[in-house]
Order: sequence, then structure tokens, then C-alpha cells
Amino acid sequence: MWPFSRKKKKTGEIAKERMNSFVRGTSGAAVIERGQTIKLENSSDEEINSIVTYIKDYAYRNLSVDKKNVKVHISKEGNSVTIVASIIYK
Amino acid sequence: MKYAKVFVITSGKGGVGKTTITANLGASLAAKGFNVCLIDGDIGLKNLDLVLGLENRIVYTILDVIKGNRSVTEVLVKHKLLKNLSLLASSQIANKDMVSPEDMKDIIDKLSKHFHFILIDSPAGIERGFKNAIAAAQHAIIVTTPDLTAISDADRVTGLLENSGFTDKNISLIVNRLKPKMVKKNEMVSPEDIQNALAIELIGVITDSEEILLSTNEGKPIVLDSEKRLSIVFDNITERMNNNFIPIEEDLKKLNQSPEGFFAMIKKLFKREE
Repeated sequence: MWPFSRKKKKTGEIAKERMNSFVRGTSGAAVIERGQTIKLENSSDEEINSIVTYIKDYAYRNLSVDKKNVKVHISKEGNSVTIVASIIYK
Repeated sequence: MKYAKVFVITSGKGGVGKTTITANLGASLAAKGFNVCLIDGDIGLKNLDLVLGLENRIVYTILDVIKGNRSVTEVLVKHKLLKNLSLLASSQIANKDMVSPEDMKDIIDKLSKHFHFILIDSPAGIERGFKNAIAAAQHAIIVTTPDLTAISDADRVTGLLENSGFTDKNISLIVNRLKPKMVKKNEMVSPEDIQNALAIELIGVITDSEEILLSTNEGKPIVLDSEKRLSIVFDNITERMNNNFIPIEEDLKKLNQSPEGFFAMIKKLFKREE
């Protein structure tokens, strides 16, 4: 066997990563606690994208709405960002 | 007596230990002197009577109360050893649609005057039975095991509870069937990981133990045997349900202590099956 083969990842780490990918509170890069209002200043596109993902995941999991039926509109004005989500029920 | 504190023990996924935990929390509270009523919310698939060893004592069920055949206090069955622990049994022949959330609210309102604590054992799933079980509860305890399927369902149930008016202030988490050695070897997610992911308060960690199966075999809640190591864990959880602070680490500390001495351990090693 090749002596320098890559160390296999522990299954606990894999489980933790998978858990954090599907759980509502930790979907995307940012952890958003329930009921918490978040204020963004000088936010990067990456942060905004993670919020959009969170909103879509939330609608999908809690309101049983298909992700494609969740439209998220983002408008930037200077340092402030406004996010409006439209959820389309059929 | 003042109005009771009403808890629902739920999970979403079946087989995570809701019924056993409900029985043991009820027995622990009763052993501390509280008047406790357990409600088997699993209409059609009842099990709580079995875990409590009361299966042969059930004459009337929740259905008799709903139909108006009997009053709610008439159908309660007292535990054999803990007279202040009562069970409102479910019916094997009924189905979940025969009970409505309004029925549950009405029953719990009547029981509230007689008990300090009411614990409702919720059925698996998120359908009518779940809605019935949470209808009159003030506090929800979500039970999960450390596997991803159970955690995913616990997350879904947390969302549904929040949609029904619960908040992170009245939703708590119990992690059941934890294997500390696997967590130590990083082969299992830790209770802290699960708590962080679900973002709800952790009020108990119960390790995987043969003691649970043995107690169910006997129909005797584990907390009635003070020699059992898990009994202290249930006692700690009921203290937390009473808003008394006991660090979670206390549970694991007790469970990691070996009850056997060195010689008992050696004896066990050389013990042969007869």
C-alpha cells in the first residue's frame, strides 16, 4: 500500500457536515438563529447569497413551497441591502 | 392545585425512544412527590401502558372520554408502585382521526386541576396525531438519536412547532442513544453539534444502554431502580424541567463512571457462559 495515502475522513466529521447542510438553522454559510433580525453592513455577495439560500430552504422545508417558486429580490443602495422574498403558492 | 405544566414529548421520526423517555420522566417526577399524568397520544399504536407495566389494567381509554361514556378522571390508571403517577391510556382499535385537537385541549384542561405535570407521548409523524399531541402543550421536548435521519426529522418538527406558536424558549432537546466512545473517536456527531445545528436548548443526554431494554422487559421504569446509572440522568432532566440548573456535563460524568470495581471487571472478563 502506498505509505502516504490520504487519511480517511472520520465518519463523524462527514455526518456533521451533512447535518449542517440540511438543517434549517445552518444552511448556507451563515448561521441565522430563529427569530433573530440580522443587520448587514458592507456585506459581500457571498453573504447575501447565503441569505437567499436560507430563505429558499426555509420556504421549502416549512411552507412546502418549491424553491423555484421563491423569488428573492435584492436591491443595493450604498452600503444598505434590501431583500424582499416573494413566495408563490399554487 | 394550580394548573399543570403540560409537556409534549415528540420527535417526528419513530423509534427514537419517546415512549420510554415519557415513562421515565413521569416516574422521576412522581418519585419526587409531584402528581403526574401521562397521556398516550399514540392513538391506535399505544405502547406507554406496556413500558409502565400497566397493560393488564386498562379498562377505559381516551376514546371513552371523547365519546362521553366516562369522565376523564374515571379512566385514569394509577401506577402500581407510584400512586401519584397516572396514565390516560390510548385505544388500540381507534384511529387518530377519532380525536381532534379540541378534544385534547378539553381533556387537558380538565386534568390540569388535578396534576402538577402532564406529559403527552406524541406519535411518530407530523400528521393528525402530532397536531393533537401539541394542541394543548405549553412546552415541547424533541427527542432525537445521533443519526442524520432522526436529526432531519427533529429539525422539521422544530419548524412545525414554531409555526404552531412555540418558540426557542419552550422547545427543548433530548439526545438519546448516544455512544460516548464513538463521539470520542469522532465517529458520531456530538450532542453539542446537534444542539448547535437545531438551535434549541439541550436538556438531556441519554447514552445507549441495555438497562433501557431490561426495564421495558419488566414494565418497570428505570428511575425506580436507583442502582441503575441512567436513573440519575432522568432525575437531572426532570430537575431541568423544573427550571433548576444542572449542567449537562453532570449526566455524562455519571455515565462514564464505571460501577464495577477492578476485581468485578476481571471476574467479568473470565466469566463463561453457562
